[in-house]
Amino acid sequence: MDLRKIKKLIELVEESGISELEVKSGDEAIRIARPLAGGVARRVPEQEVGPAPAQATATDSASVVRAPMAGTFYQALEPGAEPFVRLGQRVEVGNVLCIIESMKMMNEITAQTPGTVAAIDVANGEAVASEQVLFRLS
Amino acid sequence: MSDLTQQIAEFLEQLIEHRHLPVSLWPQDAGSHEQYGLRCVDGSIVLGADLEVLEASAVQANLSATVADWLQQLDVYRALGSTNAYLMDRAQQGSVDGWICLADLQIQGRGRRGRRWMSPFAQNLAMSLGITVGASPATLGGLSLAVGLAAVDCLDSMGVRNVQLKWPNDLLLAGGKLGGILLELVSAAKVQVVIGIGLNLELSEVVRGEVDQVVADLSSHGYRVSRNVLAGKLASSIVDYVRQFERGGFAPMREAYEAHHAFQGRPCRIVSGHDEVIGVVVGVSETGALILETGTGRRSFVSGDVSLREAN
Repeated sequence: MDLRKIKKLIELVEESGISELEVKSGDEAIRIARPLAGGVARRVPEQEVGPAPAQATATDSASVVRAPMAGTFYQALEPGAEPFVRLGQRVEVGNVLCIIESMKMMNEITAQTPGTVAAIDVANGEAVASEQVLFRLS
Repeated sequence: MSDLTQQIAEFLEQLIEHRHLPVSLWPQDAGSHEQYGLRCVDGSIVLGADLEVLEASAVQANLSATVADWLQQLDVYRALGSTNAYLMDRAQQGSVDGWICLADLQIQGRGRRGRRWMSPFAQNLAMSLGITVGASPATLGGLSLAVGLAAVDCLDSMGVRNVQLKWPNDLLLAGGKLGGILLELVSAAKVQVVIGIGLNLELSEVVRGEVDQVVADLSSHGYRVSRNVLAGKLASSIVDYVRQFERGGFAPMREAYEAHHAFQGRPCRIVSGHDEVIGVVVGVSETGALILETGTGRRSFVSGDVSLREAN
């Protein structure tokens, strides 16, 4: 990946207003993240009338759960079983969120902070890269 | 330990002492005794003459000096739910580094993704060990392959030649499944893993009939090995390979792995998550990923089920 390409990606992240972008091509991977508060100016929604929707504030205080290794993402212990967690579910520290399998190494990912599952960023059975965002807890 | 496991364990202790017991004493809730490899003759469950049960002292006597030093605890059970589940439970309370657990019979032997692993009484080796690994969690996948190689190396040193690996770490003998390995990460922060291995020494017809794949055992290929010796040597070999992995990662083992890989250079199919890909096995990467040459170029996989693709 050359510098020009990286610069383009940074511009893209800034313009779009998203907080994070991950691009993978072949053996190369790059993740561009920008701080949500302080430092970089944030886009303020035009219409700030009345209470902000719950989701908008959720992302602010969200704790992000990432994959510690590349592998396959599983939402349940085995095929056909109930998922460990569902969207909107309350989780406590130590609750299992998912399993990442890498070459028959099973890794139960547990919540490091209490919270509510605000987003599940990966579909069951999908491949994930190391450090990829799996869940957002609010 | 569940009540049922306890009942089976007590039955087995009695059986070992008396060599035969009325079948009526077998705990009914456990289902047929035959699925655990137990034979019934004239209303009695009979222990085979050459059957060897596990003894902690005998396993310990076969550990290498380094592994004997490393060992903190060695538990041998006549019956257990699953040796991996046992150590994973213990890990909730503290470190399991240096802990080896063996069972003569597993009630709920576990394979990958909820698959059952049959472990009939004293005809299989079911062993798990807990170990802290000095490596980053991101590279740990390669450890899974290293453990497979440790098993091949150990069996070879005991005269069992030609054991091959199916990526990532199934053990094959003459094309049938001889053994399986499952690793579970206790905690990514401490990088402690539980390594479970199941090996078939002898499979009865009943047990074979319950398995939905081609299986292999050591005895039908003419290999008679002591379970206690095998347990000690296998644990030693696994710890030795974990230490090698800590020093140099999987990369230095790559060549040896490929030399033992059953599907090297062969057309295969891999089912990984929702993906099904067909290609020719080029080999494995320095981190242990499977590399396939596909119609659209080379692709690497970190998880999935590989099978040989039958020639059309």
